[in-house]
Amino acid sequence: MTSIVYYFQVHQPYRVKPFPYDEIGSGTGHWDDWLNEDVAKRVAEKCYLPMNRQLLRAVERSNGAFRCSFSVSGTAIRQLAAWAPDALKSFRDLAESGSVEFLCETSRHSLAALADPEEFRAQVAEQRALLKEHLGVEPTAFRNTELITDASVAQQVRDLGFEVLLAEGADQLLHGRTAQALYGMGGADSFPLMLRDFQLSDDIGFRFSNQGWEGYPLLAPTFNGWLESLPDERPFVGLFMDYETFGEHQARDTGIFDFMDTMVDLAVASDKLDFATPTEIVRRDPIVEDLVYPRPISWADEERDVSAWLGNHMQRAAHEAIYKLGPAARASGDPDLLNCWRDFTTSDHVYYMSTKCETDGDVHEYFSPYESPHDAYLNVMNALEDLRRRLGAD
Amino acid sequence: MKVLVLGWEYPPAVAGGLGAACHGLTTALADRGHEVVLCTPADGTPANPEPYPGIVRVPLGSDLGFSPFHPGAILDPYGIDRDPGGAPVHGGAGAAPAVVEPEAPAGGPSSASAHARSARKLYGEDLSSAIQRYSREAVTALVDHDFDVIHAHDWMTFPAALRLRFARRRPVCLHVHSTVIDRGGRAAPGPVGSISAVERAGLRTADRVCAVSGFTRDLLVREYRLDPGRVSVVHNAPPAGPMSPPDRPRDPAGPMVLFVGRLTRQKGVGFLVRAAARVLESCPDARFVVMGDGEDRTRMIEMAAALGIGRRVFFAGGVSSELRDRAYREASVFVLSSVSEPFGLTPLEALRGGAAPVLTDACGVREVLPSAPVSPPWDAAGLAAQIVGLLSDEEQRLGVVARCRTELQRLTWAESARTLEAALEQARSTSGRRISG
Repeated sequence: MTSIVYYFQVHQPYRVKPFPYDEIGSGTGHWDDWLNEDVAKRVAEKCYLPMNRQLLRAVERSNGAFRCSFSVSGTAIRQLAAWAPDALKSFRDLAESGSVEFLCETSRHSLAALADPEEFRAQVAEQRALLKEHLGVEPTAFRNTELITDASVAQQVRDLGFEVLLAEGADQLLHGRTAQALYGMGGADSFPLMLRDFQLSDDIGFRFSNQGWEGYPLLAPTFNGWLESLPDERPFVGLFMDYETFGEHQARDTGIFDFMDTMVDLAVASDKLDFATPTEIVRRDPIVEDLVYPRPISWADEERDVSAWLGNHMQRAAHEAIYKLGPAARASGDPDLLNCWRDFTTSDHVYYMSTKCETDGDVHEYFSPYESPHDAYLNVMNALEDLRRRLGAD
Repeated sequence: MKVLVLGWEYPPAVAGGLGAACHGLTTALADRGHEVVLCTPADGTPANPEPYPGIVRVPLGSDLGFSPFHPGAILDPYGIDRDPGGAPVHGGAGAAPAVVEPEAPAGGPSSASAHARSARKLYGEDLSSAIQRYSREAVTALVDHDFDVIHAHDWMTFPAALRLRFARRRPVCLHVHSTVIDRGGRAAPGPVGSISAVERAGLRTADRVCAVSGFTRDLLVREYRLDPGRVSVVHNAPPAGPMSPPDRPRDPAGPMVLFVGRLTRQKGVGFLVRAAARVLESCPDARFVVMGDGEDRTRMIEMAAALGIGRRVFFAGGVSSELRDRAYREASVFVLSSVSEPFGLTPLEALRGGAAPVLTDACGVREVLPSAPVSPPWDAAGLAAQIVGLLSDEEQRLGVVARCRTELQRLTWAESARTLEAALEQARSTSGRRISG
């Protein structure tokens, strides 16, 4: 018996408004409220509402046998609360079904775990409060931004009282071992790690509608056949993906909704498959061995490292500029300025500055509201300078 | 004198300093009582140009529009081009069909975008055929006009001037505001060579040559083997306008060091960015503002980030003249970092706003501003030292501004027109000489 562990990431950043040089110090706001509202409403309509409805029906239809997990970033929760309250309510309905686990993360989908441990703790506390307030849950499992993980991240997560950390099953980490087992973090007291099976996850998340892929068209019986043919001793398979896969990255007419519906029904009926959530797995299965992280590993790009956010000079300059304002923002005593600064820590801002080419570059470009990475960089640096002056920081 | 002026840029169709110079000299000639016939590309001539006493306008080259593709096109004669990291100017790098932006509604667009449009119109992808049409029509359109001497501005108008010289037997004075060598460097390959051929042939045939500075005269003598006795130096003058107070109250955002110009190799922005890193070591609160766009934009942004000074260097892009003038009034120091600058009007404009100029020794404007601090363009440490000297000693900075402003007062278009007049007279007196070395 192999447990399918679905984890869906829900995230929307607060995108920075066009911020030309001459608006520095002019007293305007920093965020593109029109764009943010527009995207939030569109994604709620195309993805969150229909897919949540479908998953809730699957839970009811299977009497709770179907299970899955979510992480909803704090910036997404706040945007849905403001602009798509129905969608937020539908997440709460899932939480109340008892079959859906909500993970914790940083409230701003930030790189604070790498850059600023104090800020990391503050953002985790903030996310816990948001989850309690809007979804009524108290999380026990953790995913760091974009699954960025190393021993120090695991140690910080462990210190905050979580039971398990979700991470990428990267080749450079596993060296041929399977991702379908519970590992411990070497150097962090074997803190439990649940890894993503990137092959099977990306079959749904990236390749599903790719007509050039040899597996196209992917049908639910085929996919479940792959899962059923896994060796018996594999306790679980981690299918981790962006929730926007359903209806947004993969449009409805690709058949992605029907695929998931059928896939769930077939798995519920199968005697070789069931569903579980991360906390259920960590409480059930033993750790097979410790992994050693040579460097932080994420689920982004071919490199599976942090180069998607900190890969070039512009990204590192912006990252540095952002976190340099942290002490002043926290000491300002002005909740609006602190909130504003925290929204700048969202990793998407530096992600848009990536200058990678080819496939990964296309992915960066797909998400970016800017014409070019250099425009993204200049825009954020201008907005940050404006914030710096408001904070009176060095 | 009856003067035929052949111009390429003329307000409102202006892409660079050439338009301002052509306007300043031509109106000053008219003011001095000369009869002027002014020819400009039809596309850049307004339907009802504002009449100026003594100037008759003749548009040349009636359909000087875009052709989507012209195999003989000379691209980027003035470095107005695409930047791989910026928004595509035409249709994106390498795209053949030129995508013409829709005209923005009146009053709405910043003058920066209007400026970019002028630049694309005047130096579009079919520039070479536009020049041919202009030159062809010069002979036919001017049959009814009489003149004593021809005054032609920069290489685009040289072929027309030489045709008229032959067809009408009138002396020619060619005026050099910028050479291809300034823009592309000596080793620039390919089609750029054809521009240098036009320049060389024209300048060696002309009856008289005007250079915008001694720097450019020396370059013409060195590169095109001109006899220095045939070249007159006619400096540019700053646009008239009020002087702003030069003192700078302590700015909480930090003192501003300003650059204004196209981001091309010629302008040496890279040297300024390197100097900025050194300046920030001793003046950590200084901020550098770079106004302008160009093919080096991406490289400059990345260089500033790589040097760890991304937080203190701001790339404002193409800006409106209003915003630029405000920056002149706000900046403590204005840097002209060019590696080869025939003249350089921007330091004079910045002086009006109260910014102290720092120049390189490869520019013409230093001849008229001897009090301005100077360093070689490639010497980032020297450039940084000059900037730091001004930023850290307000009294010294004010002294430089005051001395430079006195020098600035001496520059007027009327004065330059007097020199030009002498050059035109010399052209008339030496006419008939076929070839000169």
